[in-house]
Amino acid sequence: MAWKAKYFVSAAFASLAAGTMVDSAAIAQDAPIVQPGAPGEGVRELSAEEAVQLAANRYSQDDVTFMQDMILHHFQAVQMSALVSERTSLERVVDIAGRIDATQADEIAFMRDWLIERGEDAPDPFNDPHAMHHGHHAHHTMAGMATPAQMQALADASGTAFDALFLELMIAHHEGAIDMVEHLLSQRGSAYDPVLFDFVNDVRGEQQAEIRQMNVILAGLADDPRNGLSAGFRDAGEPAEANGLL
Amino acid sequence: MACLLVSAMLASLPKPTGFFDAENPAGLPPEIQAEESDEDVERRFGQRAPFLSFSNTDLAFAGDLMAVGNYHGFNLYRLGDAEPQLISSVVCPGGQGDVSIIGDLLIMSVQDTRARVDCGRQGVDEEVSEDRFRGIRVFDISNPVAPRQVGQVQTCRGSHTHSVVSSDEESIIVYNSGTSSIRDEEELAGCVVGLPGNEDTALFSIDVIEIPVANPAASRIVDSPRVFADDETGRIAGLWAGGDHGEGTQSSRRTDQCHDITVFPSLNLAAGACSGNGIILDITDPRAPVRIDAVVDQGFAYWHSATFNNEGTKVLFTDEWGGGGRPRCRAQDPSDWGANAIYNIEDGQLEFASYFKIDTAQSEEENCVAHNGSVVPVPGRDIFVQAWYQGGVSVIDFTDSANPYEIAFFDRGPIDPDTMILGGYWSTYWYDGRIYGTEIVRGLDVFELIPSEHLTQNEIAAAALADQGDFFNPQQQFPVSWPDHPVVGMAYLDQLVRAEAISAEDAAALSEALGRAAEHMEAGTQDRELSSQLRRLARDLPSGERGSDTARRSEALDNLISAVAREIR
Repeated sequence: MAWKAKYFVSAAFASLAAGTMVDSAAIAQDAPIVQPGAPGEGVRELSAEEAVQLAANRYSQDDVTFMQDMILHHFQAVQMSALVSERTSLERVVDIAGRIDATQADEIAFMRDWLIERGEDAPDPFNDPHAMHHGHHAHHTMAGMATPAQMQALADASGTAFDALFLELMIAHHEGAIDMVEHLLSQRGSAYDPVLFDFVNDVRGEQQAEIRQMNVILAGLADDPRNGLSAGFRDAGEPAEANGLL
Repeated sequence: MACLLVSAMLASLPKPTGFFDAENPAGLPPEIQAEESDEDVERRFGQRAPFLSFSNTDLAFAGDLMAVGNYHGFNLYRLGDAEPQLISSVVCPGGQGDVSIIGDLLIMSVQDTRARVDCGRQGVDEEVSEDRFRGIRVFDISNPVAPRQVGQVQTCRGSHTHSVVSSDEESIIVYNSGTSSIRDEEELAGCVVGLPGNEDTALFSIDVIEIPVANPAASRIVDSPRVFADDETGRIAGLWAGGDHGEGTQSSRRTDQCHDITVFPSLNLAAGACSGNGIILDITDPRAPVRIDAVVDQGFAYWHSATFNNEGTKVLFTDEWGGGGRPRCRAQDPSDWGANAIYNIEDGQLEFASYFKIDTAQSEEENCVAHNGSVVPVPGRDIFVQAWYQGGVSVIDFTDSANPYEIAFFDRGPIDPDTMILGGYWSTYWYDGRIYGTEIVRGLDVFELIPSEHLTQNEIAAAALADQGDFFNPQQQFPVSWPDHPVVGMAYLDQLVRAEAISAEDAAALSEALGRAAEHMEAGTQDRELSSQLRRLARDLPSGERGSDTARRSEALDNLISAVAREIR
């Protein structure tokens, strides 16, 4: 075999100097960057900028889609809440709608800031009347959203009928938001940004709390004697008419 | 602060463009901003994993080409006297990105559920999708600046690692070790999870894959043998059922997968590190491996990898206690957990000899456990260079398999002082005179051994002369051979001196004569008198006890002296 001349050593075996190459500076070497396609497909050459962009890892596309969708989702809750003052005077409904309106409007602002800070498209439904109807953010794809017909029915209702429809639609709407959070969190690499992670947990927690409140109000609207019975071990509330118990 | 004992870093190459997040090159988890009122509070970090991973993983070599695997794809380097030169970066996310090179083909392991057929980075949303790719990718790298994907084999559990078993002009046989979740049967037929006892399950097997060299698009699984089956009953879950081995012992994983298989074709053997067991396979027919032994180890949590010595008479298994992402080399961690276990192979049976774990107290911020390595081909000795994640690089001598000891190391401090970043060395392999180490976060490091009391310059130079063949995929081990060069003889001589098996006078005379012979061989000249002198000196070599290291080294040195004497006569 051919010997490697560099390893021929003389009888005077000098000890090897350490580090014949200098530590490289922290500068990457330049070389072509490619992204192959599926078998049978061509190879895409990437510029350094494209490769860097592909490696941006602070948040995922799932995060962006979630935020964009949730802005529109929240905005519908704001729209529904705005109908309340002229259609009902039931204080508990007015209160919950006020709370929903305030928190969801705040959260829309937060989500828009989060997207804008990252250079992502941030829907602005308050100022852009078409935001709800444009592009791939068509709201009918989002869980729990009321249909245009349901929104019209709500706008046309008043009094107890309004209260009931409002609560039914808003509970479904909130449950949809919780589904959206859970779907996001089940995606690999989502909510890596702890700010976003905290936010989606807050959204989930507060909407769960509001659903509980709305359930109570909704139950109170009906005059079924089994609604709103008080809790207890030996002394739980019972309907006054409950007279069959021996 | 880097620490250095007896291995010198020649080059430290940062990751190539596109293989790290430019805004966060160290891959630090995002820090949770403290409230303004909170001063002097501990730094806190987000706990969720990011979308992409840029971990450097395994290495493969072919001639002067080196492939560096990465969860995000792979990078090809040209090797030479200077530092490795990056020649192309291939973006194809999927993890882990273990690589092998055979001829013009590069084989890559893919397991992530977000990995795509088209190498896209966007992931796959649907539970069942034809865009998802989990298995073995085959690339044509005949034009190494523009590798093309030419073949794919989808598997039930993806591919965590793979091993090239055999290759000829027609086909390449690969063993696939899938360790990840079993995918939906609707996505890939036959991928059955199954209830316990279900004999159709995709668990409890390895995949034998055939890649037709002329048409890699026709690559396929030819069999998924039940290598863990009970010899007598045939029940597929025939080996370790999971759990501990008694009070105070480690809990070993159930054996339903191999993590890594290393083949040793010249002896028709393979060593499998298979979750709860170490196994030996007879691979006389590479398409039909047959288990011939299996052992458990009460210190092992998860049998991770296997490396033979150069003769194929010993296997060094590693235990990846904690999965590689935990600090397991702290002062309080047992020295026989997360360690190497060295076994002798006697008549195809594994006989335990010893444990080895680096003797160092690493911090909580350093993930550390035994990981991948290779033989350093010093003639006359069994030497292993090994990655220990953030525990650094360790070089051990296991010639005496019952008494391994460390002869060199390299280590750095943790990546971050306050939080553990998954980092450190994934693999460190000897190739053509140098040690290449894939640092998961920091990049690619190149080392050279430097002489010490444990290793002489002659031994290092002789290792560099070893013929490793045309390619080196570390999970496929071929015995190396050494040329009949005087420096190989001097390496044996140094070993006799170290063992005090030869007198200083005899050693000096032989060393001087071999040195002069080297000059003649380099110059292509003859010296009959020196030739005769060498033969005379060889007669005085110690005989040593039959089978002892001294006897082996003397015999090898004697043979080498004869060859050198012939050459210069």
